[in-house]
Amino acid sequence: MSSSFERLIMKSPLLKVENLNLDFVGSKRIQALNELNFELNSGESLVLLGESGSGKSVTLRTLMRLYKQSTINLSGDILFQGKSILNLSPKELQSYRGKDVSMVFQEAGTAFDPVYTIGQQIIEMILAHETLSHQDARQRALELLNMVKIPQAKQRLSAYPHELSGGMKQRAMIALSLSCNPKLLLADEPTTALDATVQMQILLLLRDLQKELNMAMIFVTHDIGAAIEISDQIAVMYGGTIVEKTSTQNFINRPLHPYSQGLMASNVTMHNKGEKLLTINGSPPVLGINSKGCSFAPRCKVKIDKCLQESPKITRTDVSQVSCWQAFSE
Amino acid sequence: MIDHPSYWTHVFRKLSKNKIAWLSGGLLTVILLSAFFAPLILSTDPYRGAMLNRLNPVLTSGHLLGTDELGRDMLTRLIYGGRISILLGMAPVILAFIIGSCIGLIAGFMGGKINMLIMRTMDVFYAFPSVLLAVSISGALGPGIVNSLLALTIVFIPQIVRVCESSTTQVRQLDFVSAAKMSGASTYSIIRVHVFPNIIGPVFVYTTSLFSVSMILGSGLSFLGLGIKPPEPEWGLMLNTLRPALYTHPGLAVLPGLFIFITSISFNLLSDCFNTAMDIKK
Amino acid sequence: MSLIDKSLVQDSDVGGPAQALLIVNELRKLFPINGSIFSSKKDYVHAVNGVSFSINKGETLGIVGESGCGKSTLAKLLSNLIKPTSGSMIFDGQGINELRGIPLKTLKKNLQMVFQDSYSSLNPRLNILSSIAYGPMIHGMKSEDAKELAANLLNRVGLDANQFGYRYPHELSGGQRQRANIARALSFSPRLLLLDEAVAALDKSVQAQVLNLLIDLKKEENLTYLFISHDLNVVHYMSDRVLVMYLGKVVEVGTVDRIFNQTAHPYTKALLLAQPAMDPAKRKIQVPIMGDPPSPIHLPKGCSFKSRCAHANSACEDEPKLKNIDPITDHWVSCHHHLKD
Repeated sequence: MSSSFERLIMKSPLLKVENLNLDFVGSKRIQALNELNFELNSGESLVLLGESGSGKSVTLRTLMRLYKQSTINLSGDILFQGKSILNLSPKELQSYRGKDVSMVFQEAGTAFDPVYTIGQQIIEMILAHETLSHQDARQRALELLNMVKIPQAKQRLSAYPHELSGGMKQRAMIALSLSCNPKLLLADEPTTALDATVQMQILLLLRDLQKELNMAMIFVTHDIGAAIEISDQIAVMYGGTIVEKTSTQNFINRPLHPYSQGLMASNVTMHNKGEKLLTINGSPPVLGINSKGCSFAPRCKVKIDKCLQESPKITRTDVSQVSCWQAFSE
Repeated sequence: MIDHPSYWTHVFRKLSKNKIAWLSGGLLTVILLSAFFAPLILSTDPYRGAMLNRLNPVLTSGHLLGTDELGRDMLTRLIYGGRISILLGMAPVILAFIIGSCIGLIAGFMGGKINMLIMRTMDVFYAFPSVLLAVSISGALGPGIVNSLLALTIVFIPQIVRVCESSTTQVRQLDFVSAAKMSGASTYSIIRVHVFPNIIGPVFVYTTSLFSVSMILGSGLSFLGLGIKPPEPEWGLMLNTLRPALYTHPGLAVLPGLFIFITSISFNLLSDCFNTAMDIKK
Repeated sequence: MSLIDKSLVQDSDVGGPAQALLIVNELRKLFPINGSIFSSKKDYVHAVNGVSFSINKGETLGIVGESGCGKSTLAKLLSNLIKPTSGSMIFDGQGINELRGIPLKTLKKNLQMVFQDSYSSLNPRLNILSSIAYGPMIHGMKSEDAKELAANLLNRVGLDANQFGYRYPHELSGGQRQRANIARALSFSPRLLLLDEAVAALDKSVQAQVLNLLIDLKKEENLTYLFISHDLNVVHYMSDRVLVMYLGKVVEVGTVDRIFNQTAHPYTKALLLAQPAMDPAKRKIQVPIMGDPPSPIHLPKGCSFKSRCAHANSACEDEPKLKNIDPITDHWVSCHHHLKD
C-alpha cells in the first residue's frame, strides 16, 4: 500500500495536543498547563469542563496563539491537521486565526468594537481572509446573520453593538466567528453570562451549526448541564491538566476520576432536594502552585501515598483516558 | 504564623523596595531639612551683600555658588529661598486637601441635589486655567505671602474636590457600603470606617502630584511681582531679579530654576512611586 | 436561641407563628429617565411593578426570574437601601415605611443580606474579624466582645478564626469570602436573611459547601430565608415556596412541588423547559421561547408576557390578576390561560 493510501485510511485527528506545558513568566513563575494531552477529530464536539484555575481558558487561548511569546514558556506541541502551529510565520498565523480556527468569547459586548456596525465588522473579517468584492462580502454577512437566526437580519447589519440585546450580540459574535468557515470553533464560556432561556437558544444554535457545517468545536464551561447538552466528548480539567476524557454518555454513567465523581455528586439537580450535598473538601487550586504528585491529591478521598509523590500517568482505554493512580482499582 | 500586613504597611513595604522612591525621597528630605534648619547650617546673612562682590561666578572662594546681582551669597539665598518656595508648594496643597476632601466626601456621599450644587460651583472655578485664576485672585488680594498662599489654596480646592467626589461616588456604590447602611450605622460611621479609608489612596496620590505644580505657580506669582517682594529670597523672585544677568552670567541666572526643577521633580517622582505602591491588584 | 455566647439577642417573635414574618403589598419602584429640570415629559423604568407576597416564619422563599425581572431591585427595596415609589412592607406585624431613627435601627438588625459579589461585599481595608465585628459594635457591643463574637462566628461558618480572622479580603478565595459574608450577616442575630444570588459566582464544588452551610445555619439559628437566584436547580433544592417574576411583576407563586411539577404559568414552564437535561439521550430539540423580554420602560398593554407566549389571544389584552388556583397549597398564578395538568 502506498503511504498516501495509508494516510487516507488512518483518519488522523484534526487537532492533537502533545505534552503541552505552559508557564507564565513574570515577577513570579506561574504554571498554567501541566502535561496536557488530547486529540480532536473533525466534526467532533469536545467540552473542557472545569472550575476556576483549571486552565481551560488558558488552553483555548494557547490554541489561538493569543499569548505573546515573551510572556510564556511553552513546551510540547500542538498539531493542527498534522502541522505544528507553534512555529507558524506571521502570515501563516494570520491565516490560521479566523480561517482555520475561530473563537467565540464570553462577553459578547466586549468582543465587538463599539464604534463600528455589526455588518462592517463581519465584512471586515471576511475580506481579511478571502478575496471577494465588498458586495459579495455583504451578501455573505447577511447569510451568516440569517444562519444564526437573527430576526430582521438586513436591518441588523447596520446596527451598532450596543443596540443589540445580550442574546443577539452572542449570535452576532457566532456569525462573526463562522464567517470564514473555520474547521475548528473555540467557545470560551459563551453562555455563562446569559439568562437560562437565551442560554438554551444559543446552545441549540451552536449544536445545530456544528453538525450542519461539520465543524469541530471545543466548548469551555463550568456548567455540567450545558456540557452534557452540547458535547460528544467531555474532558474534565483540573490544575492545568485533563484528568479524565471520555464520551458524554460514559461521563454520566460512570465517571472514573475522583474529581469527576465529586463534581457529579455535588451537582445540584432537581433530584437531590432534602439530601445533604456531597462535597469535595477544600477549594480549587490557585493558578501557579507547582507541586509534586497529583494536583487533586490534597482534596481526594481515595488518595494513597503514591498520589502525593508522583504525577499520575495517563491510562487509555478504548473509550476514555484517565490520569489517576486509583482509577481502575476497586 | 503568616503575616497579614494592613494596607498602609503593605504600601510602605512596597515603597521601600523602590530605588527611585529612596532617591527622590532622600533628595526631598535633604532639601526640606536644609531649608528648615537654614539658620543652623549657614552663618552667612542672606540679606547682606556688597556691590563690589556682585555676580561672582560659581566656585568663587567663600561663595560656593557665587553671588547674586546685589553681592549676596547665592547658596545662602537659595537655601533660605527654599523655605518660602517649599512653603508655597506644600501649604496651599495641604490646606486644599483638608478642605477639598471634606467637600468632595459630602458631595460624593450625599449625591442628588447637594452633589449637583457643590460640583457645579466647583466647575465654575475649574473652568479657569490655574495660572489665570491664581494671578487674578492674587492680584485682587494684593501682594504678600499670605495672599499668595490663599490664592493657591483656592486654585487647588476644586481639583481635589473633583477627584475626591469621583472616588467617593464609586466607593459608595460598592456592596460593603450597602452592608454598612444595612447595619444601622450612622452616616458619620459609614464615612469614617468604610468610605474614607478607601478613597484616601487616589486622593492622596493626586494631591502629592500637586506639590510641584503649586511650587511652580507660587514661584511664578513671585516672578510676576504678585507674591513675595524683595529682598525676601524666593526662587521665583530670584529668577526674576537675575534675569538681566541671563546673558552675561547664565550659570548664575539658572540656579534658582535648577533648584525649582530638582525639587518639583522629586515631588513628582515620589508621588509616582506612591501611586505604584498603592496599586494592589485585587 | 442562638448557640453563640455573648451575641446580640435575636429579637423575639412578636406576632406569633401565624403572623407572616414579612408581608409585601403592591410594592412599586419606578426609576425616572430622560428627566431634566427643563422637560416635563419623563419616562420611567418599571423595575418593580406591583409586587405582593408574604414570607412565613422559618421558611425559605425562592425568587426566580431572568435579568430585568426586578428581583435585584426587590432585594434593595426589602433591605431598605432604596425607598419604594409606592406600596408597603410589614415586618412581623409592624409597618416598615414609617420607621425612623432608633426603631429603624433596631429593625435593621432583623433583616440582613448576603450579596452576590463576595469581594465587593467586604471592606478591603479591614481584616475579616473587624468587618464582622463592625455590626455588633454599632448596636452597642464592646469592641472585645464583638471581636470574640466575630471569631466564634467565623468558626461556625467553617473558617478557623486563628487562620482567617486577620486576613484581608483579597487573601481569601471566593467561597471563603462568602462564608465570611454569611458570618457578618449572622452577627446581628437576624430573623430574615436575604440571599441575593449568594452562590451564583462560586465554583460548583464550593457552591455545594456553602449551600450545606446555609441549610445547617437555618435550622440552628432559627432563620427565615429569601433566596433570590436565576438557577432553578438551586432554588428547587433550597426553597419551600417559589415566586416567579417577569418584568417587575409576580407571575406565579406556590410551593416548590406545585411550581416545578404542576406549573401553571407559561413563562415558568418555559423556564423549566430551558433547563439542560442531564442526559445526552434527552437533549432538547426545540427552543422553549424565542426572543427577548419587552422593554421595562414602555410596557405593553395587558399581559407583559403575551408577545412571547404560545397561548396568547385577545383575552390577554387585559392585564391578568393573581388568582389562587389551589387554596390548599396557596398556588397563585397571573394568567388568563394558565396551564392545567
